[in-house]
Amino acid sequence: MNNKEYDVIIGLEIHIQCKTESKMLCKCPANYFGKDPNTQTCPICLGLPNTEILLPNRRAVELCILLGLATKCDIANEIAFYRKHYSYPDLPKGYQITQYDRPICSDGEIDVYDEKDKKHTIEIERIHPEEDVAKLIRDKEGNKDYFLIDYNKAGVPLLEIVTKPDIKSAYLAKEYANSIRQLVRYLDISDADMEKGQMRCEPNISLQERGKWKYEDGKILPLGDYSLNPKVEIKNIGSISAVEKAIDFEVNRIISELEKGRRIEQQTRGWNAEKGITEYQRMKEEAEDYNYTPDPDVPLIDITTEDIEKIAKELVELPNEKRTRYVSEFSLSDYDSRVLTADRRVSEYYEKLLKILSKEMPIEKAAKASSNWLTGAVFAISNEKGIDINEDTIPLPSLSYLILEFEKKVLTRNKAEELLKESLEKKKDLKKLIQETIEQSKKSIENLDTIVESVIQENPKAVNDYKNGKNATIGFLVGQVMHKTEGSTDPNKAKLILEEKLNG
Amino acid sequence: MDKTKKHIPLSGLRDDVTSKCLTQQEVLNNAKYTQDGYVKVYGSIVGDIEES
Repeated sequence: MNNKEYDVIIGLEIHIQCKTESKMLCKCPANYFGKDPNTQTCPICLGLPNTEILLPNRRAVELCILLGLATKCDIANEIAFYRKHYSYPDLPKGYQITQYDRPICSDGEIDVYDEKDKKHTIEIERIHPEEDVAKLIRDKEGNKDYFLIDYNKAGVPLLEIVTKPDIKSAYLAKEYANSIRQLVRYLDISDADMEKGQMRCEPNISLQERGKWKYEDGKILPLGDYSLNPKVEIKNIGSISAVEKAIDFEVNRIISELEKGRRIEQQTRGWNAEKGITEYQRMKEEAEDYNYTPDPDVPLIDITTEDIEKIAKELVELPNEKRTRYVSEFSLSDYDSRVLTADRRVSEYYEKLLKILSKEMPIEKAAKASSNWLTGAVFAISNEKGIDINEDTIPLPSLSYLILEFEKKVLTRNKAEELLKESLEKKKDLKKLIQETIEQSKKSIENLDTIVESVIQENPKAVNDYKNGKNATIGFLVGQVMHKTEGSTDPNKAKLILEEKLNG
Repeated sequence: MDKTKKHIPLSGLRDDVTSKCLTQQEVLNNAKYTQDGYVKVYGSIVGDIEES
C-alpha cells in the first residue's frame, strides 16, 4: 500500500461508420445492416487474388473534411493513404488502407462540459478515413475452436477520430463521445448507433504520479528520472454510458495494481458489460508493429481551398451554438436548451412549433411553453412508448392547438396530457380529440350548475363540515364535481360555483 | 516514393455509387469451411482471436 496521488490521463479513439452509399475502395453497398452474411461483397473487399482497389470514395473524404471543419481542424492540402499491416482473419488483404503521417484533419478541438457545467476544450489530434474490417462472430454455443466471418462490413468507410491524451476524467470522456455522436448526427455524416456498430469508442488510459510528468505538444513526458506508466486500451464498449463505466473500472483497477506495487503492462482489455469489468485481451501494439507503408495503388490527393469552401456549405448550426442561441434568444434555461438541442430533429421540430405559437403569444412565452411541453409530457410519453418525435407522429398543428387551448385554460394540464397520450397510444387524430373534448366540456359547463347541485345533495356530511368552518372540505366537493364531469371542468370554476351556493 | 506518385484532385476520386455484388454462394465457394452463410475459420489456424 502506498499513499501516492495519481493523475488520470485519457485519450479517446472513436470510429464512425460513414453514411455513404458505397464502400471505401469498391462499389459494394456500405449499408449492410440486416443483410444476410456475405451478400454485400466483391472480389476487391474480399481481397481475392488479382484484384486491384478502386479510387477512394470521394464522399467519404468529403465527410471527413466536413467533420474536420466542424471541429476546427486544419485541413491538409495533400493527403496520402497507407497500408497498415497486421495478420488477422477479419482483414482479408492482410493490411488495412488508412492514413498515417498526413491525415486529412489535424489539431482540432471540441468543447464539453463537466458535472458542474464547467467548459473543457478537448484537443483532437487527427481525423482520417479508413476501411472497416470484416465481422468475426463467436459460435453461439461458445465453442472457441472456430470463428465465423461475415465480410459485408469489410471496406465500409470509417472516420477515425483521435484525441490528444488530455481528457481528465471518465465523465468528460463520456461527454466527449456524446458530443462527437451529436455532431456526426447533426451533420448527417453517420447515424452513429453504437448498438449497430456504427460508432465504437476505445479509450486509452494511463495513471501517472502527480507532479512527475508534464503535458507538452500533445504528449505526456516524464519529469526527472520518473518512468511513465504505460497505457491500457479498452475495447468492446457498446454504449456511451459504458464509456464512463469502463474507464472508472479500469482507473480503479490500475490504482489497485499500483498500490500493490505491481508494474502495469501496456495492454488491450475488453469491457465485459454483463460483469461490469475489463478483461485482459492481449499486449497492445505500437505503431511500428504495423509496418505502415504508402499504398502504391492510391494516388496522392490534392485538396484545394475551393474544395473546402464547397464542403463548408454543408455545415449547419451545431449543438453548442444552438444551445447558446436558445439561452440568449429565447431566455430558456441552460438545461432545457441542452435537452432540446441534443437531437437535431427535435430541435428543428421545436423551432417549427415555436414559430406557430409565436403568432399567438409573445416569443418568450411561446419559447417557454413549447420547451415545457416538449421536454415534459411529449418526451415522457415518447420515451415510455418508444415513439419518435416528428411531424408524422405528432403533427405540429395539433400540438400547437393543444398548447394554445391549455394556455387559454380551456384544457387542464392533466386533460391535455391525457389527450396527447391517447392520440399517441391509439394513433388517434389529436386535433379531433381536443375538439371533441372541448365540445363535451361546453356541454358540461352548461350542466355544471346542475352537477354542483347534485354534488351538494349527495354529500350532506361534507356540506355540513364546510358550513361548520372546515374550509378544506371544499376540495373534496370540487373533486366530486371533477369526477362527474370526467375532469373536463376547470376546478377553479367549480369551486366558485360551489362557494356561491354554499355561502349563499 | 511519394515524390514520384501521381496526384489527383479531390474531384477526381470515385463517385459514391454502388454496383452488383457477388452472391453469397459465390463468396462461400472460395472458402474451405463454411457455416450458415459465414466463412468458418478454425482457431487452431489463426491462434487466439476475439470478436470484432
